[in-house]
Amino acid sequence: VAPAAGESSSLLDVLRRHGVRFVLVGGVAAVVEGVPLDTFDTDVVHERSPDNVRRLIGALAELGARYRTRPELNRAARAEDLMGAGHHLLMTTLGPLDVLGSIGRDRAFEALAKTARRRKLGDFYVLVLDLETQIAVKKELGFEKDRAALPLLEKTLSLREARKRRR
Amino acid sequence: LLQIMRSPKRTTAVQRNAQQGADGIDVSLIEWMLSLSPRQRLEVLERQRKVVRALRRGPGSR
Repeated sequence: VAPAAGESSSLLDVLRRHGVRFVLVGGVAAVVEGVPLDTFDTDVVHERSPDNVRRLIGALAELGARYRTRPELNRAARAEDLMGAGHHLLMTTLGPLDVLGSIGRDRAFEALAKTARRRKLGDFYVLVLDLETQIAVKKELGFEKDRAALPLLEKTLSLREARKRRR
Repeated sequence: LLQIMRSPKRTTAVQRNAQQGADGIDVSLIEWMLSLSPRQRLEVLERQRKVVRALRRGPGSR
């Protein structure tokens, strides 16, 4: 079934309604910070506390989340999985959702939340990874697709800083 | 979204003749994105996804 339009904001709203603590990262975070790129999945880094993981499992159940890269599992992510630093690439009724225990060089929720920006997306606020850290993470990862996106992120950051100076 | 696309800021940015640098990056597109609110940026992305999905489904779909 094709996901509904506006799936990233709807996905984030489900997480928020369940009280999940997370930072929006990846391509959608880049777009929210002003980078003109295309992306089809929504990436979040969640707080890996027992209470938060319990809330996250509730949200994922509402979203009908299943592992999209491991269809043979045919099950939802479990608490013991989500307490780890690994990546969970899921398909939900609202589109692809990547639930990440950490990104880059072991950057977890607590570290990312310190510099993340609180952005209003619709009727709610979301912590969005700041552009500076997005660039740092991409440099740490060093994958070809990450290196390819770097010039666009860096240009956006420099133009944003120039706009600030002009004000 | 159409209002966003047709906004004076967008028109001005496009009229700057794309301002493409040696690195091939369209500066006017970034400037336009930066002129939008975070919510509007997300709406642009989601609208794009909807268009891509409609194109994949073929003629007559929306």
